[in-house]
Order: sequence, then C-alpha cells, then structure tokens
Amino acid sequence: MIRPVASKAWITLLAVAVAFVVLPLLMPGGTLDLYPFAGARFPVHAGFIDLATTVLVFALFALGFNLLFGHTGELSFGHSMFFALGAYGTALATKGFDITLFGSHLVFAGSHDGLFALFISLSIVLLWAWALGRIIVPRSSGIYYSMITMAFAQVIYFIAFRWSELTGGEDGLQGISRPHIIGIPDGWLGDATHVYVFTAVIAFLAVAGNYWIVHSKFGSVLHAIRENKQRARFLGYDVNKYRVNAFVLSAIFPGIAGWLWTYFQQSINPDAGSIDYSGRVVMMSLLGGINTFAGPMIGAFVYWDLQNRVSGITKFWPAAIGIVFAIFVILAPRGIGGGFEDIRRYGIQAVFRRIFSKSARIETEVAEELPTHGAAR
Amino acid sequence: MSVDYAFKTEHLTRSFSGFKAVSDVTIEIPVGGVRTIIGPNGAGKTTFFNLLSGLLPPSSGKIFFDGKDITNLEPYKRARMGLARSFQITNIFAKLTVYENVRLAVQAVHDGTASFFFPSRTKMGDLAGKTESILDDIGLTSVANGLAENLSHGDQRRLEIGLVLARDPKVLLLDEPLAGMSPTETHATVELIVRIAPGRTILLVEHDIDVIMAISTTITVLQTGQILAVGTPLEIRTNEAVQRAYLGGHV
Repeated sequence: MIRPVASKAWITLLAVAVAFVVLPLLMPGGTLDLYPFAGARFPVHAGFIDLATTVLVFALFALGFNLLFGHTGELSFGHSMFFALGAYGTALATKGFDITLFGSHLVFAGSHDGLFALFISLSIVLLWAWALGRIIVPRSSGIYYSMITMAFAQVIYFIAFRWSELTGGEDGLQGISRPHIIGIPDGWLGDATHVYVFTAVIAFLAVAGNYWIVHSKFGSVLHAIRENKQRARFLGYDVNKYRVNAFVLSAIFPGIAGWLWTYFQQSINPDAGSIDYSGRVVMMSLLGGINTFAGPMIGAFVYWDLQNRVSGITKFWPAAIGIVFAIFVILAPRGIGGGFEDIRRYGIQAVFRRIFSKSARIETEVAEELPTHGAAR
Repeated sequence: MSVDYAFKTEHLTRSFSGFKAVSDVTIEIPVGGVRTIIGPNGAGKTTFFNLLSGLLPPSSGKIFFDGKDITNLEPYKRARMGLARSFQITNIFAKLTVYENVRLAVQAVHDGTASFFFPSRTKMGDLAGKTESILDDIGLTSVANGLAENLSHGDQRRLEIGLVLARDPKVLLLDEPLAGMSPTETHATVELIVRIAPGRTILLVEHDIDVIMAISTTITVLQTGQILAVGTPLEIRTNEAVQRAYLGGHV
C-alpha cells in the first residue's frame, strides 16, 4: 500500500491543548519562564497572564490569516479589517448605539449576551468578506491582491477613526462589560486567569476547526491552488470559487479573535483595523513558518514575548523586532516551524549548512533520496 | 458520444497583434484514435491546443466539443466535460508529493460537492484505490511519497499524463509528451499512450517522426496557422505538398 502516512489530528491538537495550558507559565514571572533574569516562582505560577491572553488572541488571528497566506498562497495585507469588524461588532452589540443616519434615528440598547455579540460580529465579518472576495478574487492576484485588500482595510480603519458617533472615533469605545454566556456564572470572567481560560477554550475550538479545514479535501485543493493555479484549473477545479471561499473562511478566525479581544480589553480603538495590525500577523506567520500548521501560533508567541522583553529594555523595541524579523527572513525563510520540519527531514547539519550557504533551499547530497521506505507500508 | 466528431472548429482564428497564429481553421476531428498534429515551429500547433482547451480565447470563429459550442467556456468547465490536456512545459504540483498530485486529480471529479469537508468514502468512491491504480498505470508507485519536483524529467512528464488521465477523459490533448525524454523513457511513454488510447480520442502534438508514423490514426499538418493536409500516415508520407513544406523530402 502506498497511502501517505496520515497526519495524526489528535497528536497535533493535543500538542496545541498542552501548549495553551503551559503558555502562561512561560510568560514573564511564570514558573517556566526561561529568561535568565526572571525570578521563577514555585509552586506553579502563571506569570503575566494578560500577555498570555494577548498571545492567544493573536495566535488565532494569525492562524486564520495563514489559511490564505500559507495554505492558499495569497497575501492579504488587510486582515486587520476582519479583526476590527469582529471587535467593533462585539463592542456595539454590547454597548448599543444611538445614531442618526441619513436623517433616520437608529437606536439599539445593547445586550450582554456574548453569543449574541458573536453572532452579530461574525455575520458582519462573513458578509463583508464574501462581498469583498467576490470583488477582489476574479480581478486580482499577487501584489495587486495585497494592495486591494489593504485599501479595503483602510476603508474600515477610517470609518472606525472618523465616524465618532458610532465608533467613538480616535478614542474608541470603553467600558465594555464582560459577557454573559450560558454555562458561565456571572462575575466569573472578572478574573484575569478566568479570562485566559475562557479565551483558551474558544481559541482551541477555533484551532481545531482550522485544522479540520486545512486537512480536509477542500484544504488539499487550496494547496493545489497555491502550487499551480493553472494546473488546478485544467483538472476541473473552479479555482476562483475556492479562492473566494478561502478568503471568507480565513476571515472568520480574525473575527472570532476580535470578539475575544474586545471582552479581554473591555475597550476597543481604531488600531484594531490598522495597517500595523495587518502587518503584524504577516510577520508572526513568517516568523513561525507559513507552511506548517502551528507556525503562525508559534510566531504570535515569539512576537509578543520578544516585544514584551525588549520593550522593558529600550523604547526602540520595534526596531529590535524588525532586526530579528529580517534575520529570520534571510536565514530561516521557512520560519521556526519550517526549521523544525527541515531538521526532522534532513537532519540538523543540513539545516546549518543551508543557513551558512547562500541558497534558500536545502541541497542534499543525494537529490533527496526518493523514499521507497515509508512508501512501502 | 452523441455526435461523430470529438472536436469541430469553424473558421477558428487567433491573432497576436496582427500575426495570425491560427488562421481560419475549419476542421472536424473524428471520435477515437490518435490524431496527431504536426508542422514546423511556429505553425500554430500549441496555439491551436490553447484555443481548444480554453487557455486562450479565439479572435474569431467557433469551437464545438461533443456537440456543444464551447468557444467561450472556461477551462475548468471544459475539463468537467471530459477534455483534458497536458502542457508542453511540464505542469504539475511540484512541491506536493506524487501521490498527492494524482489524488488531487482524481478528487477533482467530485468538485462542487459539499463532501469536500467531510471524510465521506461512500460519496466520493474509493479515491485511494483509483489513485493507486493510476500510479500503477504510469509506473510511479515506488516513488509515490516523494515530492514531484524530485522526479526525473521523464517521470514528471508521465506524472502529468497521469493527472490528465484521472478524470477518465473522452478527449486528451497531449502537447509534446515526449519532449526531452531519453530513448527508454520515450519507449515507456509511447507504450502508455497506446495503452490508454482505446475508447478515447487523443490529440497529439509531437516531433518524433518515427513515433508519429507508428501510432497515429490520422495526421494533420499545420503550416503558418492553416491546414496543409490531413490523412493517414501513409498518405502524409507520400503527400508532395507536405514533403516540400515540412519533411524536406527525406521521409
């Protein structure tokens, strides 16, 4: 039999679950904080828990973004718009609004139901993503695709920035209460650790959903499109339909991340939809490795951990992160996850040889011995 | 098939900024057999293929396939009708495994069904079984788990034929499938083409004159975008116009 070794879904998801449990311990002040100057505390101490929550939200954001970037091969430079729509949708669903639009008076009192807010936010995100996908996908690819997504993200950003009556303008919306959700006792979410647990559970479910999409037959077609659009088309795949669907699906995860972010921060401002945020998830994905499932999540952790540590030393922390990023792109273009994969496949020496050679590709002595082992199973 | 032609073109023309690569071609390609198209470089063979498969829209004229006007149909819809093609420059999913390449091609038959999200063996049939039988057909079973980009040139060409076969197409367009192959690879590939030919129409663009003479049912000669002659290999071999234009009198 020649069936390829099936990737074991439960192993990956178990690893993600363990990582989510351990994550707070890795944070500054946590028991497993390996930073040399950190005073590790015993017994188990969950460190800087708010930073861990931030990592989770952005891990989910980047993972969704990478469904498009890493798996479909299309670089959206405007994914913060979905994060912002999710976040503002949640804020407005919670606080309500009182605006005048084209002469008519629109009032909504607001609701503390968390699932109601999720439903509203995701509806907005899906509708916007679907409409955009239909407009953008048939007309552009490559650099134009990136530019158009960025332009539309700017539209969302400036609406958030200028439409003060609805969005609070530059200051955004504050004082958003934590949600009521069936099964969670009132007031339970008042504690930072509980917010982390809540975020981790939701993020884990979303990650599992993302894993399912990536490893489904649908996901395999996305990979085919990434590799060779023309071939996919001539095999009979409606390539543009897949590209639109990938765009919409990849918008869901930033949307959920925005929902979590609003409840965590209890406030929201236009930064959520900025180019800066769009760029950060690109950076996180590349740092972690866009061709591995968990790469973007690893990247989110590295990004925030680095930012937190360096910003304690110098106010020029963005420059420091930029340098680290540049070093990664040059020496390890496949990111951290890709590096692990290469080490597993080619051995650590080959990987180091590649780092010090000028080629981006690992040159194996034998043209990668075509494996009959593993093939014959 | 409801009609007795695989393809029919009417006054098919394609110009590139004034230059007519395919010029007013009206032809009926009958069902079945190996229909080879030959002609000197620049005669319009590949452009003709690109028009038939939908890679290029024609400047004017019409194309019929299986009784339907497909002149403005998108390539993926033509593929779904049972028209498959290989390319002059190998066109595979280089960074995916050989197995995954073929599986994607097999799975494409079910495109458009919601079952793409669900592991539903029953609805999709035996994907793995079909994939393995195609790998066996093209002789790449032993390298199935390697990346396609690591295959030899000949194996990559054969993999592409495998992709083209997956849909069990009625009509295959093969654009120079033997280009750049060693004699051994050529032999194996010709054997493969002959083996898959029954029950299908194969349109072949090739340069290897021995192979053409051996396996063609009919030969169509193109010159400067127009049809110069159509006939059996013997007729073409003895056709004076063809000899003057293309074969240089040496056949």
